[in-house]
Amino acid sequence: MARLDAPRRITLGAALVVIAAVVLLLGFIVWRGVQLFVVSGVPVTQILSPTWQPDPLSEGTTYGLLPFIAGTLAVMVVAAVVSTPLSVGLALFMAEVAPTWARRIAQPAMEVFVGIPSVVYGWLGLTILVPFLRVHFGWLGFATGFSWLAGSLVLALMILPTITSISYDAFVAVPADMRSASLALGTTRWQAIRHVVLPAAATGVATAIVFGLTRAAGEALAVQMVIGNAPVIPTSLARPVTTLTSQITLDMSDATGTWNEALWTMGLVLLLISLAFVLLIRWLGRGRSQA
Amino acid sequence: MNTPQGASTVTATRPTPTPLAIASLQPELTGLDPDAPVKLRAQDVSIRYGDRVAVRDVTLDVPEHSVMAFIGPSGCGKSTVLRCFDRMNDLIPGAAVEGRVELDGEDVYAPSVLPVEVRRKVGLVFQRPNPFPMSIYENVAFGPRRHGEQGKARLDDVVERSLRQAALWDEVKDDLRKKSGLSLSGGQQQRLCIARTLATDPEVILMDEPCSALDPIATLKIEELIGQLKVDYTIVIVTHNMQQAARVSDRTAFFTLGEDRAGYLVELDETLRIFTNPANQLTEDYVSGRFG
Repeated sequence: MARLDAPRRITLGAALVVIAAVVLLLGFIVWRGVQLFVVSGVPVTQILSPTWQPDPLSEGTTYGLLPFIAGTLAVMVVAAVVSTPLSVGLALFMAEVAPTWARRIAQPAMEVFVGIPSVVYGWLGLTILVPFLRVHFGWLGFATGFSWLAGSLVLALMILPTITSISYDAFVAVPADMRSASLALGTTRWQAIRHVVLPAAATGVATAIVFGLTRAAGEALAVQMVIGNAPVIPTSLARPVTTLTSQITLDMSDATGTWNEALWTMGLVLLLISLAFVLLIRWLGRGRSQA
Repeated sequence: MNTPQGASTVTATRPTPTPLAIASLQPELTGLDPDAPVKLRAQDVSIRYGDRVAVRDVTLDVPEHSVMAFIGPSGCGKSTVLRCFDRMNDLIPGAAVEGRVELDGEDVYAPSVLPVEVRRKVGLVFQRPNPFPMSIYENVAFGPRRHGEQGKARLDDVVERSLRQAALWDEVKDDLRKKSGLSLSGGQQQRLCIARTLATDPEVILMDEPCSALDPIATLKIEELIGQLKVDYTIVIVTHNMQQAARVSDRTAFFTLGEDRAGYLVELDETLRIFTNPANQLTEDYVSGRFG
C-alpha cells in the first residue's frame, strides 16, 4: 500500500472510526434486540399482540409492542398532517412571496427554532398546551389534557423548521426562468406557483415531509411529557397513548431480565422504522436527480 | 432534425444583401408596406433600475406583420426595451419605465391595464429554451389551460396547430404525452417554447436572442420559422448575430451605450439600409465590425 501523507491518514482514520462505530452500534442493537426471541424464547408473533404486560411479578407476562408501534406511527402522522400545510406554506411564502427583509428575518428565526432543546418544547406543552386542552376542550374528551393530540401538536411544532427549510430549498432550486416562462404566458403569479413551482418541487417537498417524519419518530422527551404514556392502541385524539421512544425512556431504569430485552426489541423496531424512512428519502432523492 | 434542405430554403427565400442591392433600394423591392398600421410604439421611453438609467429616450414604431431586429453591443439596453412591451420589466425590483409604450395605440402602462392581459397579447421567447418539466403536450397546453380552456378536443386542436406553426409537429407527434419537453434537443426545445407562446394566441412575439444557445442548423430552423410567422404576427427579435438580423428582419434598430453608460437608440431603418448604407457613423462601425 502506498504511503499516505498526514492529512490523508487523519481523515481516513476519522472515517474508519465513524464507520466502525456505526457498524458496531447497528450490530449491537440487532444482537440485543433479538435476545427476547432467542434467549427468552418469546415467539416473534407475540410482539404484534396489543397487550403489554412486562412486569415479572404479575401473572402472564406478554410483550405486545403493537400499542407502541401504532402509537409512534399515529403521533407521527398527525404531527405531519398538522405541520405540512403550515411549513410548506411558510416555505412558499419565504421563497416566492416574501420581500427581502421578511426573508432575512424568517431564515434565522427557523435556525433558532431548530436550536431550541426538546425539553423546552415539552415543558411548554406540559405547562400550556395540556392544561389548555383540559380546561377548554374537556367536553371533547380531553379528561386530563395528556393525549395523542397534545403529543402530535408538540411534535408538529418541532418538525416545522425541518420541513420548512428543506421545502424552501426545493422551491428555491426551481429555476427562475420557469416562473418567468409562466408569467410571460400571461398567467398570474399564483398560477405560476401552483402549476409550475409546486409540481417542479414536489419530490423535494415529499423528501422534506419524510425528513420531518423521521425526526418525529425519534423524538422522545417532549412527546413523553405530554402524551400520557398509556400503552393502548390509539383510538381517540383526546386520550393518552404512548410511543416506542417514550416507553423506552420511562422503563429503562426499572426493567430487568426479559422486560429489559423487550425494550431492546423496541429499540430495534424503532431503528427499522427509521431505516425505512432513510430508504424512502433515498428513493425520492433518486427520482429527483433523474428528472 | 438536421436536414440540409432547411438551410437551402433559408438562403433561397432570404438572400443576403449585396452591395448591388443598395442602388436599387426601393420600398416596393424590399417588400415593406409603408402604410402598415403601427403595432408597437415606444415614445421617449427611459428605463431605470433603481438610480441607474439603463436606456434613455427611445422612440420607435414597429409596424404590424413585420420583423424588427434590435442589435447593438452588450449592455446597450436592447433586451430591456424589448421587455417593456410585455411588461416583464415589472418583475425586476426597482425597475421603472418612463415615457409611453403602446400596443395598438393603447398605453400598456396605464393604471387600468393588467400586466397579465398585456402578456397574453405579447408573447416572449427567452434566450435559453425553458420548457416546463412536463410532457410536450402539457407544455403547449399550459397557457390555454391557465386561461380557462378545458375542452379536451379544443386543447388537442390548439396543441396540434401551435406545434405545426412552430414546425415541430412532425418531429414530436408520436410522443406528445410520453416525452418530457426537457428530453428534446436544444433547437426542438426552443421551437416548443415558440409553440407554447403561439398557443396563447398572441398578436406580438418578442424574442430575446432566441438562437444564442443553439447550433447553426437549429438556428436556421428558427430563422425560417420567423419568416413564416410574420405573416400572422408582429415580431421583435433581439440578436447579437448581425447576419441573423440581416436574414430575418425587415427593419433593424441599432442601440449603443452612451458616455453616460445609458443605452440609446442610434438608428432605425430598413434592414437593408442599416447593413449597407447606414446614416450614422456609429452604426456603420458596428455593422462593419469595427466596434465591440
